[in-house]
Amino acid sequence: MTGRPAGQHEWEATFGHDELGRPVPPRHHILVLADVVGRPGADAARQLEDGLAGLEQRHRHGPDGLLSTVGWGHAWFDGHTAHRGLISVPARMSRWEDPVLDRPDALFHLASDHEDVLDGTYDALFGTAGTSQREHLVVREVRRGFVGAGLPAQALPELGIPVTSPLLFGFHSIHRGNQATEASITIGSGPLAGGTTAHVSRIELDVERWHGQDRDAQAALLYAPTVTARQAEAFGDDAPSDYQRYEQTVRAHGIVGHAQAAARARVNNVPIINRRDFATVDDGKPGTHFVSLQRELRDFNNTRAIMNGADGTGYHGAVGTRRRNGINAFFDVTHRATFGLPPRALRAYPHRSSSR
Amino acid sequence: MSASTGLPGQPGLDAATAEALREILAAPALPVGGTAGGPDAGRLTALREALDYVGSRRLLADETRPFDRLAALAQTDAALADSLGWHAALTGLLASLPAGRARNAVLGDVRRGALLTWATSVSRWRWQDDRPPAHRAPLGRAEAELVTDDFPGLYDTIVGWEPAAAALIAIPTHRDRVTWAHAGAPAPASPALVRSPWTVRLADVTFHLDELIPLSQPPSIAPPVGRR
Repeated sequence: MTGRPAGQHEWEATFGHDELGRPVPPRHHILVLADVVGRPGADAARQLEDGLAGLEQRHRHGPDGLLSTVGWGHAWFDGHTAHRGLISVPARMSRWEDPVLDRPDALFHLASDHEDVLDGTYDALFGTAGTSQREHLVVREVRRGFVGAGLPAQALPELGIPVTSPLLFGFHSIHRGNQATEASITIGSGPLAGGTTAHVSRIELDVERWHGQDRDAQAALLYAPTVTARQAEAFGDDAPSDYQRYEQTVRAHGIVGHAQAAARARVNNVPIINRRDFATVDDGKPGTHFVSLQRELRDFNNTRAIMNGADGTGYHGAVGTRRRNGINAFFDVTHRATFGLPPRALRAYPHRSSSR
Repeated sequence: MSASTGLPGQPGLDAATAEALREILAAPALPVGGTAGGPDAGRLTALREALDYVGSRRLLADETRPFDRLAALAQTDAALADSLGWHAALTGLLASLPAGRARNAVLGDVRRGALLTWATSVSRWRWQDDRPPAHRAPLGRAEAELVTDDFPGLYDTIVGWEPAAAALIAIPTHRDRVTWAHAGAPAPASPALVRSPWTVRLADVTFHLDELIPLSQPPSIAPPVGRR
């Protein structure tokens, strides 16, 4: 081990903060979806752990170095361990989406402020180097992206995205206090004790239509109809989207605010998911790789179901399931996948059955 | 919230609801990827959003007068009403059957806004170990292939006739390992009502006994007018 936290997902202590105190995650990310070849044994586990530990010795723990998690899907747990059903399969989560339900064995999430660190890490794990894991892992898909002030404006300059924005919709979405803490999403007992779960979505965003609106209209849909763009830009702490007044606000304005709707999934006003999402232009399609960590996958499911704002139509006739309903009219989930993130000590082919 | 779907004896939607539906159909909030795909994607996108609205407003949630509600919708948009013909027919059929857990569950979903369609043909249905769900073993797994006459993603539940169990079976479209694909070229009914058949595949899909509605014989269910 390399002195890193026991939980692979424990990243946030290394994050910087912007001038308003908002957490600043690593600027560049890679997701590698991989399938297991054959039936990896102790040697394969040692090889993978050695490879990861070597990278962690080479790069410091944090955005200036390398942050990583290795997750394992239901295909791994059902096919290679005694823990069948530990990770539930991904599912369609709204009536209007038809996502590909990905079922890879493993997910590697690599993050750094430096793209060259990520490229080198990918090559070390999946390239031709001696540390390559290709004997036991075949790469199914690589997804790349970024999050950070200036990067969206640089990627899509024609849209006029503010240079202060870390994401393609032109606002901040991570504020102090609007994330579940890493401690609260850490699983306390069972096969994943000390770890957590991950839901990974590929989302396409209709950025042209979104940026065809004025900033106040965007803020209304993104936060709440009572919030102006100027107010939203100044949010440092948890956006005061006043979710307890969701019903009255929708009745009065005929608009559902995304943050206001989604915040209803909180428990005693405490968020239950920890977002690690980042923007992308993979395949020329602007979007988001939405990585959500939570103690139980159902915490994500609940949040997503409530975020849909399906009840908004009942409070005002102008509100549809998509139109005037948060950001529902501007995104399309094309892929979903689910994983368990074991603690660091178990990250290499966790709980593999030796008898199979 | 009560759905304002027009007063008894006065078919027609209230003005705000009708306007909202017309706006959706004229300018749907296009999903970025057009996930329904195919040459019919534009129609399906608009229809899907409109049906989402119909479901969430529970405009067809009253099983006692399904065709009245359909007539009210038809005054706003004929194609939209046509897409719900099977829903109205099935709702009427289910309401006429004796009360039971499976029948009540489907009607309960309808009252909450769920929309139904009919499996126009079932070309293959096989239960694992040839055992449909039964009282002693209430869970069963099925491999099947069936056809719907429009995009299955428009609906919450596909209802089909399953002869081995002698039952109507309710297949939630969101259930794991239920997939679908275009079955062929569109079958034009009229210029405004172009539909395509879709093949729905079930791969080891789990059902509970409470999703089978016993019937002594295949139902006599009349196809909607636009689909005859």
